[in-house]
Amino acid sequence: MMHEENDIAKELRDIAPALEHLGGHPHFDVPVRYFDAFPVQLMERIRAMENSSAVTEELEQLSPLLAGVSRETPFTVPEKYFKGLTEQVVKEKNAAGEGRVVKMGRRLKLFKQCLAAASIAGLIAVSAVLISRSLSGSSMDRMMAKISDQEIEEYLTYHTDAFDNEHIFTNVSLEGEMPSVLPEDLSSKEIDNLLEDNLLQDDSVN
Amino acid sequence: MAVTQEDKELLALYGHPDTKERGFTLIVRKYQERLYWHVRRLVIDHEDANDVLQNVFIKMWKGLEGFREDARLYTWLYKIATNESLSFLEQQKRKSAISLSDVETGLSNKLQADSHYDANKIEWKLQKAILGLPEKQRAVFSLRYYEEMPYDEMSRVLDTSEGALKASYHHAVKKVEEFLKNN
Repeated sequence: MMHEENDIAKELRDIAPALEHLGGHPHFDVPVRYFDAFPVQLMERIRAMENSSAVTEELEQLSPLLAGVSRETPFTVPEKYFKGLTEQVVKEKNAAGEGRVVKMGRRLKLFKQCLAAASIAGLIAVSAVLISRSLSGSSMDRMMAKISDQEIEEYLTYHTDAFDNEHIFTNVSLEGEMPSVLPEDLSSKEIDNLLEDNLLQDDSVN
Repeated sequence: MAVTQEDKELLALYGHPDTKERGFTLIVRKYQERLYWHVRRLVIDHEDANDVLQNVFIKMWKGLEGFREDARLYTWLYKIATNESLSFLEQQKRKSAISLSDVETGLSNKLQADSHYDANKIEWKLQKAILGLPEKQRAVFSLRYYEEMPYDEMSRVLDTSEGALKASYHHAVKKVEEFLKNN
């Protein structure tokens, strides 16, 4: 083996002495797993060739007339159609969005989440109604009732002027408070108390 | 027949989130032309073929994750393309509420509207003869005559037995021959 290599090197030196100084072989790259895939690819081509001849033979037997006709399709496509097709398909695919598989388990989870969300929303709604009720007119009335007449009187004394008094008197009506027709069964004492209360009201605003 | 080595590599690219888009693009690039011609022969018009083909690849994108590698990608794609084309023709029929013979006339008109159409040329006569076949038989004829697909693969594409496909193809060839002899 060594002897053979020496002979080859000597032969090369004799033929072209300059080549000796060019160095070793260049390094060529091949695609990854090229040699693994090569036999399979070759087999595929052989099968395709065999199949093609099988189709041709079959056709020759079935219809010699048709076997003699070119199998080229006469249709044409717009220029550079296939060049732009991939980009067009990718664009369409993005527009269509990704496919989503909805499993039953996922649906159940979604239902549970919706149920929880609905419960929270319901709780918030009920709370809002209760708070709103607690702040409604009747509650305000109760709070106002707790304020003593003395405090109201003081407030009005220090915070109102002649114009306010006029405004108050024009809007205050005792008609709603005083029954238009006194019930017959009211005792004279009850009538006196009623009159006294209203007179006191009258006095307090003055 | 199992998936080929090259398709395995493309599917591996598609299977990885970082290279999914690249894998999809390479599969489209590899199969677009073959599938286009298969679809075009069935629907005749270029614009219709373009629409159908895009639907085929969108279906592929949606279904590729569930693709079983014991089948060939090529066979699976032909199955989608054939079904989409036949569904498209079916829709056309329903939309216009027209009979089968009217659909044939419609396709024949589209054929004759082609700018390169030449009624005297044998390849165009052949196309007219093929249009005279029932739709599914046209698919059988196209897959065998143009695509040179083996019967076992055709059987997977069309979900029909090899025997039935062989009989259908033989029958189709005889009808086409008859048309060519008489025209």
